[in-house]
Amino acid sequence: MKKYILIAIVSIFIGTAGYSQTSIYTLDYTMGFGTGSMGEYIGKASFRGLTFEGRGFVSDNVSVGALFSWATFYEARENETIVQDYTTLFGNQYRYINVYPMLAQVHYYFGIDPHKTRVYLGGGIGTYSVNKETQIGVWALEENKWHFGVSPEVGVLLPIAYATMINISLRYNYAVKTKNAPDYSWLGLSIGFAWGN
Amino acid sequence: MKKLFLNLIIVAGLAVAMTACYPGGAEYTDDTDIILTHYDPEYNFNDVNTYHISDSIEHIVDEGDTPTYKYDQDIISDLSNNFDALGWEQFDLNDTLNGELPDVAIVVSAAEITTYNVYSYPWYGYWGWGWYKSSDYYGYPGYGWGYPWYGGGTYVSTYTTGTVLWRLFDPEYISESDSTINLAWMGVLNGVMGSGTSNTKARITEGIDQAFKQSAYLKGE
Repeated sequence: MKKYILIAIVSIFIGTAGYSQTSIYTLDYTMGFGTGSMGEYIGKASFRGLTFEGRGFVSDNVSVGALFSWATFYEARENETIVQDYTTLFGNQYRYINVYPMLAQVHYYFGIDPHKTRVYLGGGIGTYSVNKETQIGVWALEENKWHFGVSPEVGVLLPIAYATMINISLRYNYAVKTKNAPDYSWLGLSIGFAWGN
Repeated sequence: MKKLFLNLIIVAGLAVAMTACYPGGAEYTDDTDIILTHYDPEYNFNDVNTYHISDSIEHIVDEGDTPTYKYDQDIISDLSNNFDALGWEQFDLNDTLNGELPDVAIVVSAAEITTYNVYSYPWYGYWGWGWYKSSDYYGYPGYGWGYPWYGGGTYVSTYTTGTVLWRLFDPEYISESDSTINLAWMGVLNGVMGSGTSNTKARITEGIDQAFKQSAYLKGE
């Protein structure tokens, strides 16, 4: 009898472990660190950002989905000098970049048990709306452009309760240059909650 | 249904948060000070030994407003001190009227513009003096100013700003064919106006000093 009870209990746990999720939603606080020419323009890290994702599983290890994100980069530069041809402009500069990635995504998960820690790799592709503004004196030079971009990512899901997880991810964003705008690139470190069913 | 509702709330909150964010920025009026200089690369400043500067300033204000004259002598004095420091000798008006001309002459303008919306370059045309047609200097009535550059861009401004503009030209470097006084050098101070007199004086002095500092070509360098 004890043998059958033990088998039943083990079966229940095995059954739970074999349960596959159908979807995950994440809401993260996102920090940003500019790289390349974007890092030269604004050297300071961004601590204003949010990321929202929806992922649907197409197999035990693979999900597809979409991402919407926003981050603001800001840096004040005092007594900056701009020289262009025969003109020199001196003054404080207040530099801003607001970025809005909107991406389609694919993720692969190492492990299929939603109740255990899962590392995942993924990538996104889509559009980046980039709003760049440089305030000098009472003037503002503004540039609003749409960019094509890609975004490789590595992350981990840490279960904390039934169907609820902590999500940590590191994402590299690269928005390619356009005809009239430079490329933008930054690392995004996201920490937040994920929940699924 | 409950989960869908939760997701919709999150997406709506995210949409609100995604409104462009502009933290920080200028806090004090002098944070808005800019100093702009421009020169004609074809002009040889090495040949300049004498200058004349007008003893009065032309003022541009909003219609119905009274110009502020209390900084005029400070502006002229600051400019003169810097020209003197270049080793240039100042001409007085009597020398000019006697038929002698200085190597260069400087005229100064000051503008107070309230609630001005600007959308595109060139900056100066929209700062208030683009429509100002009085150019009756040294016997060239009706001449316009020939700006040797042109730029492009977009920006917006809605403040009360004070501007000091000085234009340096060579009396012999004038195009009579198209009635244009060609500029050799110009400087612009611009910023949000403050209420403190001593602070305003200091901002003007520092601005003019900076304009000369960033214009090493005046020394022939």
